[in-house]
Amino acid sequence: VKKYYLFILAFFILMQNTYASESQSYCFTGAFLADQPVKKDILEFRKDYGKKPYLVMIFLGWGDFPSERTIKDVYAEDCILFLTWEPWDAQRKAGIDFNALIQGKFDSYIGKLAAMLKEIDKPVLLRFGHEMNGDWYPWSGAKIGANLYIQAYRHVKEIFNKGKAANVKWVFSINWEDLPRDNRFILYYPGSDYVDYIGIDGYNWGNSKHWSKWQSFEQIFKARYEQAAIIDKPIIISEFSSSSSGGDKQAWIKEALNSIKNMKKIKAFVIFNQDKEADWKFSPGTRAALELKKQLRGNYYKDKNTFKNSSKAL
Amino acid sequence: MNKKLDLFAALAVLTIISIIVYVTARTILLFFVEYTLIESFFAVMLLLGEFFIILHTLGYVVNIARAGSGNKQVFSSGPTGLAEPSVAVLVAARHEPKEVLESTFITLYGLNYKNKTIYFLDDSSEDKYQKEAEELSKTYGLKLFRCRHRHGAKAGIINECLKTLNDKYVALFDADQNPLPDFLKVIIPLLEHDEKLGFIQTPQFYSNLDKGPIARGAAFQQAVFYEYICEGKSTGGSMFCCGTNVVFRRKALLDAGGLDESTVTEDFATSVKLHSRGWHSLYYNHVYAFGMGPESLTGYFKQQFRWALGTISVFKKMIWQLIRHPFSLSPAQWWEYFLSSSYYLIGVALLVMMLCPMVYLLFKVPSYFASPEIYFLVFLPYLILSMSVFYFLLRGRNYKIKDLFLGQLLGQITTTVYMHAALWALIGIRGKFAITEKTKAAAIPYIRLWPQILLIFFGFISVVWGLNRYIYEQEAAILVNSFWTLYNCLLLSSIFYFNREVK
Repeated sequence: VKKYYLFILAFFILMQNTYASESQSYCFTGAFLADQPVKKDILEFRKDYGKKPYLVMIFLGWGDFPSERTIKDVYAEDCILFLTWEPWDAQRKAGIDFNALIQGKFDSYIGKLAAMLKEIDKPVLLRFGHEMNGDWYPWSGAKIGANLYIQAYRHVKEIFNKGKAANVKWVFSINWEDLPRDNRFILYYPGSDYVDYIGIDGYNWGNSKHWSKWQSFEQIFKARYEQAAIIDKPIIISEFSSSSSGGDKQAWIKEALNSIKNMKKIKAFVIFNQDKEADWKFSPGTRAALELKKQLRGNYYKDKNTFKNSSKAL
Repeated sequence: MNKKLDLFAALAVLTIISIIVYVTARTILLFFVEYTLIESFFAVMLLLGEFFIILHTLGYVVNIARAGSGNKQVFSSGPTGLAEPSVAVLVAARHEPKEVLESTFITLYGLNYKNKTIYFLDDSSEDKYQKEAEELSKTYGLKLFRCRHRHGAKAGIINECLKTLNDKYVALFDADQNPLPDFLKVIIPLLEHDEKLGFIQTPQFYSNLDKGPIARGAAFQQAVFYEYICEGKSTGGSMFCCGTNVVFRRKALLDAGGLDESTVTEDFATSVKLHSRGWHSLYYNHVYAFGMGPESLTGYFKQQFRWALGTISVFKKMIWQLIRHPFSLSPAQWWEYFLSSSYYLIGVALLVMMLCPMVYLLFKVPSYFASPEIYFLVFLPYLILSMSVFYFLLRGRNYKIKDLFLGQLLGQITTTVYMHAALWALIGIRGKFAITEKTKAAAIPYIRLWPQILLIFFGFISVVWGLNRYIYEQEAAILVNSFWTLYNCLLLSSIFYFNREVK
């Protein structure tokens, strides 16, 4: 009888292992370094944390274009550009006229940007109108409604289609939390023809604000990941970082990079590595920064695209 | 990949063998051991209960085997880019909150499919809701449809509306479902491809799984159902319609005489009709709609009660149909429909399985094996193997054991609700058309949880009693029964965890 149970036990262990060794998983690195990142910033990131940021994020206001120098430097370092395209006047923080947009008033600007990105001839990630499931941006659903948002998004994407900018990959980028609660991200999803990746933004504010509390990466991202994973698209953590007030930032980043390994559909992350609303930066030399460097070691986190199929961005 | 399939096949075969061994041993023992009348009664009840669960386990394993343990199926849809056939999208609602409806119509409006008309079937009788319906229809360009004479609840108004339609296809959505923009674009070509397809069902996904343990448990119960059971049933040609996220060929629906209005689960009864008239069905296992599951125990119990009541009523009808028209369905379809429609009798089976060890401990009425050696040799392999099929395969589709367990716990505390539904259905009491309750609800007062609390109470008493007996009698069977009683009590105690106010 004992032998019999040992056999069953061995069986289970075998099953376990088959699942564990399933597929070659990976996740690309990425960061927001500076408003106009150049070669120096990319190399500095590698010096501080051991790997390059494969995705280099920049923010773009309406009517603007990315700087030639940034484009040149990013691709010279074998990295790719991740454009956050904000439909507002970046100085005045005033939203554009979305009805005018779907009527075609901005078509020539959109077409010009499409042509410029197409010329890069390598993968470019683009997220238009991010965090729409919040209420802070003028393009958020709480301000313009989901219908108008989707129409605007689709209109912009269709102009890129016309310009045959197929190297541009579209990231539908949401906030980790729907605010207000009924403002659910799924209402804004423009459809599989318009999206290549789903992006999720989220931060641990610690106790840096009166409304915030310390939250682990998993507490922030897990439920949202489970929801987003239902849609048949790979996922990018399109912005994340932690404040250091109210907890242990070193432990936080360790847990974060381990959690990502358990969320297999996450194919890239972007660390927001600059102090802004809170101390998001992993300041070089701190314990948190050393931990980040330590966690990025190994094969799981890649800073270079080694896929043979070069049109595959991630 | 192949290695994995081999392992699965071995596991499935082992499970089936262990089931057969177990049933045989149990039945033989029943005849060999001499029981008094009361003892035989409990022994037979327990055997029936176990037999029921074993049948369902078997059906489950077969479904998993058919669904395959690998990747989800992909169907060829033939050439795309042809002209879009016309689709009527129907949403029936009665007294639903405006925010819920608004989200639904936003997503329907956003469906990436031009040749569609959205119908709002407003079944409300209160002024306030009727006015809201009119406003929504204006905003989202919906066709508002109302019935002069209400009959057959949801199925009734849908049938009335059907009479006015000319579209080739009819899509049905519950008022709280948010389809993804690609829904029709993916499903319609599949229907175009096969003229005999009467309908295509897609899964439901409860997206509010972050809103507390009930929502999470319910979401993962759904996942188990849709991931394997449905896929298996579909390959066997007996996938039934679940009432929402489904597209019908209008011709098929007319051929069946519309939706069945005689039960609260009209969808299920209608599928039986369609299949017996030779139409096929397909389950497309890709989520194309986000919905909301119940977040409070009240809401969850109401939903389960309604489903159980409706399904068991159909079970009664099916037995009647089997006697009168045994050839209206194929044997495989009968088997699947028997499993689907009898599923909610699980309340009765589980209750018997909870009561039997308690009766043994308190009154020395033996219904389990007298000899623990046989018990361990026969029962345990069966239990371990069937549980492992369940857990390992769902893990293969990236489900976590913790979440699946939560779903099972929730099922356990619903036992008495299923029991209640079974009684009503057998007596023939019909339920009302109630909206599935979603958010905001107070905890259920403990007095109304008396069945569960009494079971826990007597369970603990029998364990204490049993342990006292063990000291004097030194009978191993007492320990086995105490263990199961304690196990059941612990599972049931989770009701204190689940039953809380939802804000």
